[in-house]
Amino acid sequence: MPVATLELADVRKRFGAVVALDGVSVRFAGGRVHGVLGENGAGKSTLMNVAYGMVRPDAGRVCVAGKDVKLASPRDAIEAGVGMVHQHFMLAGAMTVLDNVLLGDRRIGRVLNRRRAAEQLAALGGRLGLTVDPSARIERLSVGQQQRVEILKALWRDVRVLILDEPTAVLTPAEVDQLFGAVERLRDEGRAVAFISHKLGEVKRICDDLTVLRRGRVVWEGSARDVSAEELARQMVGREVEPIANAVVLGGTGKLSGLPVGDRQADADRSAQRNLRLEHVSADGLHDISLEVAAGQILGIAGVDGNGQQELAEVVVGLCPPASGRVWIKGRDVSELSLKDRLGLGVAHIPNDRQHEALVGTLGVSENLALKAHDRPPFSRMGFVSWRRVREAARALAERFDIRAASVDAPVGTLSGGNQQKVVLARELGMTDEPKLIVATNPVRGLDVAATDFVYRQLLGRRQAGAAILLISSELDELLALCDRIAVLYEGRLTMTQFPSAGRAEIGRRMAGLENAS
Amino acid sequence: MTELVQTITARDRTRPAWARAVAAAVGPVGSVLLCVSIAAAVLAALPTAGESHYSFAQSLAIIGRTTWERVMLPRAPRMTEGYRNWILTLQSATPLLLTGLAVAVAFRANVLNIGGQGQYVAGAIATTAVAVYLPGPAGLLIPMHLLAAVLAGALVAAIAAVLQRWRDVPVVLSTLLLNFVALEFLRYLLQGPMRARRDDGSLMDPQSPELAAAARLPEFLGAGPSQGIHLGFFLAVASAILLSLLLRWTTFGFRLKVVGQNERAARFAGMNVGRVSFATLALSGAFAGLAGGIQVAGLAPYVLLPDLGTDGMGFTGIAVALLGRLSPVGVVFSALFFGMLNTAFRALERSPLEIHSVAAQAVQGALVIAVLVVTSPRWARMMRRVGPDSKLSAGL
Repeated sequence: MPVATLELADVRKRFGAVVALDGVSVRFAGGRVHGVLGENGAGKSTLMNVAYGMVRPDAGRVCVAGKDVKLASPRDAIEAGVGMVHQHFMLAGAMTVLDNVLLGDRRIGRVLNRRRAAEQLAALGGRLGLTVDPSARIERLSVGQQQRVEILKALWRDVRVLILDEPTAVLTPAEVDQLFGAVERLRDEGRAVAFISHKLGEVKRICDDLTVLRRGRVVWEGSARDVSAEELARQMVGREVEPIANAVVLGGTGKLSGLPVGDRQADADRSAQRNLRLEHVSADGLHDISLEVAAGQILGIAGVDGNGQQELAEVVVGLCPPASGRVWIKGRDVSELSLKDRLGLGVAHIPNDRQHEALVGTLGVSENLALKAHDRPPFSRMGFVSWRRVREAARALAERFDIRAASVDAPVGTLSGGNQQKVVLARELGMTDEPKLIVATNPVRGLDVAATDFVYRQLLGRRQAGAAILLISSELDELLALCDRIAVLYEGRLTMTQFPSAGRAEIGRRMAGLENAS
Repeated sequence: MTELVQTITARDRTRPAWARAVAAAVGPVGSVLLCVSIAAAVLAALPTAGESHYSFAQSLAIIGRTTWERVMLPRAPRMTEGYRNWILTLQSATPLLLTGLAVAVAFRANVLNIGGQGQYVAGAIATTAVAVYLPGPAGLLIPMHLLAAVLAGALVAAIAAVLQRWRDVPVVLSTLLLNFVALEFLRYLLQGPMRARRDDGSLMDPQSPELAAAARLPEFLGAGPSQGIHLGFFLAVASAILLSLLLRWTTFGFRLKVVGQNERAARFAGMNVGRVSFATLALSGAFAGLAGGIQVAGLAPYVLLPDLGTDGMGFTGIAVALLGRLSPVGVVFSALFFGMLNTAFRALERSPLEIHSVAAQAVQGALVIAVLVVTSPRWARMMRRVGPDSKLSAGL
C-alpha cells in the first residue's frame, strides 16, 4: 500500500444531538484519485472540512505525510499541504486572476514581483492544462475558468493533497472533460486528489479508490474498477434505489422504463392546448425568446448557469416584465400581469434558490406554506389570517408530501434540504388548485437520491395530470431523462434541439456555444 | 465585565438541566441587573459635584438608597399617599414606549427608520397647532389633535418612503436627515409664527402658547396637573397590544414579517414589497408622531418648547426597541426599564451626590449599550460557546 499523503483516523464529530462523523477513517494516497461518495448529510462535507481545518473533530487524528497535524484553520491546512476547492467559489470578482491567486499567500513578503509571479502562474497552468490568462479579471471569466483559478490558487501554495468539493456541478460536459484531464495530470505528478461527488457515473470515470459514507460511517471502500454504479448507489442509500432518480444519478440517457408515459391519445389531445407561449420575448439577459409548452408536456431548458435561466423563469412567472414580446398562459396574454395576478391562472414556481427565493428560513413550515395563499380564502377573511386553517392545511400537506419536521411550526431553516424542497413543492403544487404551468429551476440541486426521486415523481405526476412544465436545469442528465423536448439557452438566446434524435454530445456542444441552431 | 459574565455562564454548564433552564430565564434579567450595578459603581467612583466629599462606599450607599426610595418604592418615604415615584416612571416611559414601537415595527420589516425624533417633533407640532389654533367642540379636541399628531408623524415618514420608491434614496439616510429638517422647522415656528405673546403683546421666550385645559390629556391617580398617569400611557399600551395583534393575525402583519425576514422570497411569493415598506414606514411614523403629541398634551407646562427637538426620545426608541427584541410586548417592558432609569438618574442629580446631569447622561448611554450587548441573542450564543466543554475554550 502506498504511503498515505493524507490520513484521517477514527474521526468523530457531533453537532449538538446530531452525529455527523462516527469514527471515520480514510487514507488518501499520493498518485491516486480518491472519491468520497454519500448522500446529503452522510458526512462528506464535514469530513472534508475536518481535513481542511474548518471543523475541529471531537476525536480522531489527522495525519499529513505520516505526521500528526493539528489544524485550527484553513491556513494551517494549506501550510501542512492540504488545499480545497469549494463548491461555491471564493474569488474576488473585480480583481485579476493573478491577484486572486496571490491573495493570502504569506510567502510573497513585502515586495511583489508581479511579472515573475505571472510567468510562474502561466507555467503552472500550462503544465496542468489549466490555461487561464493571469491578467484577466475574474468577473469576465466563465464558471469553468473560475474553477481553474480556484484550483491554481490551491496548487500555487504547492499542496500535496487537493480536495475538490462537487467540482462538476457547474460545468458543461466539455468543461468536465478538461477538469478530468487536469485531475489526471495532478495524479501523475504524485499528488493525492480527494473527489467529493454524488454523481456515480463521474466517480466511476475519474476515481481510482472510493469510500462511501452513510450516516457518518464508512459503509464501503475499495477500488473503483471492481464495483458497479448500481452497487454504489445501493451502498449510498442503504437500499434499492428508485428507478427514476437512479437513472439520472447514474448518468443514463434517453427515456426511462420506469417513467409513467401515459396515454398517447390523451397526450395528443392535450398538446393542442398551449399552456405557455412566449413570442419574441426580450428582457435584460434574454434575446428574442419564442417557445411553447403544451399541457402534459415537459420542455427542458439546458444550459450552463448564468446564460439567462434566472431571467427566463422570472419573465414567465411574472417577476420581471418583458422589455418586448408577449407571454401567454392558457391562451391569455399575461405580459402586463404581475406575479400575483398570474398566480390565479395556476402558475407554480420552484425557484432556483430554495433558501433565498422560495422560503423564509426563520418562519415556520406552515407560515412558509401560506406565503402565497395567506390572503386568499379559506385562509384569510377581511385581512385577517386564520392560522388554525393554515395549520390544518399544513398538517395535511406534510402528510401528503412526506415533510419530516418536528412540527408544522418548526422553522423551515432547521429542516434538511430535501424536506425544505418538499415544503416548496407542497406550497406550489398542493396549497391551491391544480397548477396549469410549473416553472422549475434546478429543482433537485443539492438533494439526496431519495428526495430527488420524490421531486421527479411529483413533477411527472403533474405532467400526467395535464400541467405544462418548464424545467430549467444545468444537469443535462436530468433533462434527458425527464423531458419531452429540450431547448438550449446560451448567452440569453434559445435554440430548440431535435431531441431525442440529438444526443447529449450535441446538446453539450450547444451548451458551450460551439454549435448554432441549424 | 466580560470575564464576570463569562464565569457566570461557564459555571452554568456544569449544573443540571433544570438549573440551566432557570438560569436561561433569569439570564437576561441577571445580565441587566449586573450592568446596572456596574453603572452604579462607576457613578459612585466619579468625583462629586457638590462641596461635601463622600467615600466610594458612602457614594454607593447613597446611590442604592436613592434608587430604592425614589424608583422602587411607590412614593418617597416622607409622603403618606400617592404613587409619585411610579407615576414619574410611567410618564417617562410613555413616549419611549411609542417611539420604541415605531422602531420595532419598522425594523421588523427591515425598514431602518431612524427618523423617530423628527416624526416625534412633527407630531408635537401638529398637536400644538390643532389644540391652540383650531376652534372645535371641547369633547372632540383631544381625539382631533392626537389624530393630527399621528398623521403628521406618518406624513414625515412617508416623505422618506416616497424618496426611496421614486429615487432609491436609502431610508436610513433620508429619515436621519429629516430629523434635522423637523428640528429646525420647530425652532423656526417657535421663533416666528407660533411664538407665544404675553398679555401686553410682547414676545415671550421661544415657546408656543399654552394648550387650553380641554386639550390636555385627562389624568388618573394624580393630585394636580401633570401629577398623575395621563391618558397617553394607556394609549401607548393599547398601541402595543394593537401592533402585537396586527403582526400576529393580519395578512398585512404577515407580509411585513416576510418582507423583513427575506425580501427576495417575499417578491417571489407575489408580495408587493414596495407597498409593504411604504405602509410600514407610515405606521412607524404614526407611532412616533403620537408620542410627540402625547408629550405636549400630557405633561406640564403644556406648551411646545424647542427642547423637545433635542430630548432624544426618538433615538432612545431605537435602544428601547432593540432591548425589547423588536416585539411589541418586549417593548412595553423595555420602555418601563428605561423609564425607571430616567427616574433614577433624575433623582441622583438631586441627591446629596449632586451627580451632574451630563455625567449621568454619559453613564446612562454606556449602560444602555452594555445592556443591549448582554441581552442580544448573539452574545448569549457566544457565551454558550465559551463553556468549559466547547471548542473555543479548548484553545484558551
